[in-house]
Amino acid sequence: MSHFWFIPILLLVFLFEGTLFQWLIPSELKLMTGLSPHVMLVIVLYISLFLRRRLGTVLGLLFGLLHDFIYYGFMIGPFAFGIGVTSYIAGVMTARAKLTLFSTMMVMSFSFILFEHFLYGIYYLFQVIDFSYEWTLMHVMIPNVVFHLLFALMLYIPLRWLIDKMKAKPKEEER
Amino acid sequence: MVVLIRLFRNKRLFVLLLALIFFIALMGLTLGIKHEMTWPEKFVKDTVAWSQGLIYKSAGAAAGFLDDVRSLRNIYEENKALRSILAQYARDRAKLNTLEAENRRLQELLEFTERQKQFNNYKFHVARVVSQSPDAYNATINIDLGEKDGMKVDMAVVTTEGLIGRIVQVSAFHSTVQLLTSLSEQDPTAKPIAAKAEGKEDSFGMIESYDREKNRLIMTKIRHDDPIAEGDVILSSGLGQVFPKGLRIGTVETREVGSFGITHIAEIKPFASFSHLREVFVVEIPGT
Repeated sequence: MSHFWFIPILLLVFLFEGTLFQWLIPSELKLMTGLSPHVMLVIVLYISLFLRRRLGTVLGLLFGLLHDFIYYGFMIGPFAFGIGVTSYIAGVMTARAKLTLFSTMMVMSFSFILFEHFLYGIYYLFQVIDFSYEWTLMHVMIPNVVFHLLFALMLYIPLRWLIDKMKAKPKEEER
Repeated sequence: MVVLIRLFRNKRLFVLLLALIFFIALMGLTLGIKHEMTWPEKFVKDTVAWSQGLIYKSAGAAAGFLDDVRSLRNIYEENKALRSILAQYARDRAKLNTLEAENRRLQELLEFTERQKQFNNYKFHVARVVSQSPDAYNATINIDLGEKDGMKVDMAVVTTEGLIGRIVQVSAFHSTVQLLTSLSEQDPTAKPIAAKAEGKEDSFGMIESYDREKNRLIMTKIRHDDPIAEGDVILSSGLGQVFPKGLRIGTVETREVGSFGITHIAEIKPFASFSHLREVFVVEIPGT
């Protein structure tokens, strides 16, 4: 299986993020919290951790840019920068580490927290939002991190299987 | 100096720093200034938005069906209430017709200019929502009307309940709408809404920000002797030239002295809800 299969997968996930997921979150919850699913980030992080760091970073930049462009409200760049740099740092951190389920989840939660801070930091730096940090932490960051972790757990087995399959095939061809 | 040179010989760090500079520049340059889109941009946006529209519609239909099943019990009651409202509506309609005729006559008597006559005669374009941004800070939606349907930047967007935002970017067949929930006082690119209370022509205030914690719009610059009171319905006044006159926004919840003690601020509960949107209306002012 070629690595290019991740492009249609990510594109499909991107389409679902703005449409289906928006309908799955109850409107009361949306009013109270800023829960916003970024399953794209979870998949990009898996690519970065288990397949190739550089591929993860490039796909993160690409699909982040697509997100920024399609939902162009304040500026272009926060998602491209956030997802790209987060997946790069996650890749560097685990470059020579042997990853178990637990350590993967630890790295993932660190990356999610980092990503949320990148996003809040950029918007805050450019003064386009005036949310207080305490409110954002309780109502946006923590729900998002928990939600992302749930998704990461759900996708652990299918994505590991897919990545292992991608890794296995070139070796067989060499033989 | 040697340390610095050695630091920059580290390729990884160098690329990372370059990326940082690039992104800060990109964000700074695209902040608030929206250029006319080039055709590849339009192509990407329309393709993605079109496919999003398919999913959004079916997801919305599924959610709607579940709601319908749940509310089947209430329908009988609702029907009865609606029938009485319909009778009332027919009566009001008759009254409206005579009032409208009278109004037209009086306007002509007053020799209104052509522009003023047109001013309140808005055209409402029905648009379907194709996607909503999955971002807690940057609240935008995409709708399925674009340049080809006569959409322009800064057109006001309303739902049947009230004002929800304005168009910020237009491609060939789709446009992006920024919702009122991303209004902020600090934001240099935000466009505040000049507003007044319904039935109080000399009232004035500016809706400048949205308090995400309380889910209220904040209206500022209200004179201390202004007649705006709690419970008033707030409409756009059209003085800001961006949002047209007479669009319903919300009701006043509290009014208090502002931070400098010179003007008052009011919290406004918006009529419209900003999530799970299906159809919205784009307001076009004829002649502009």
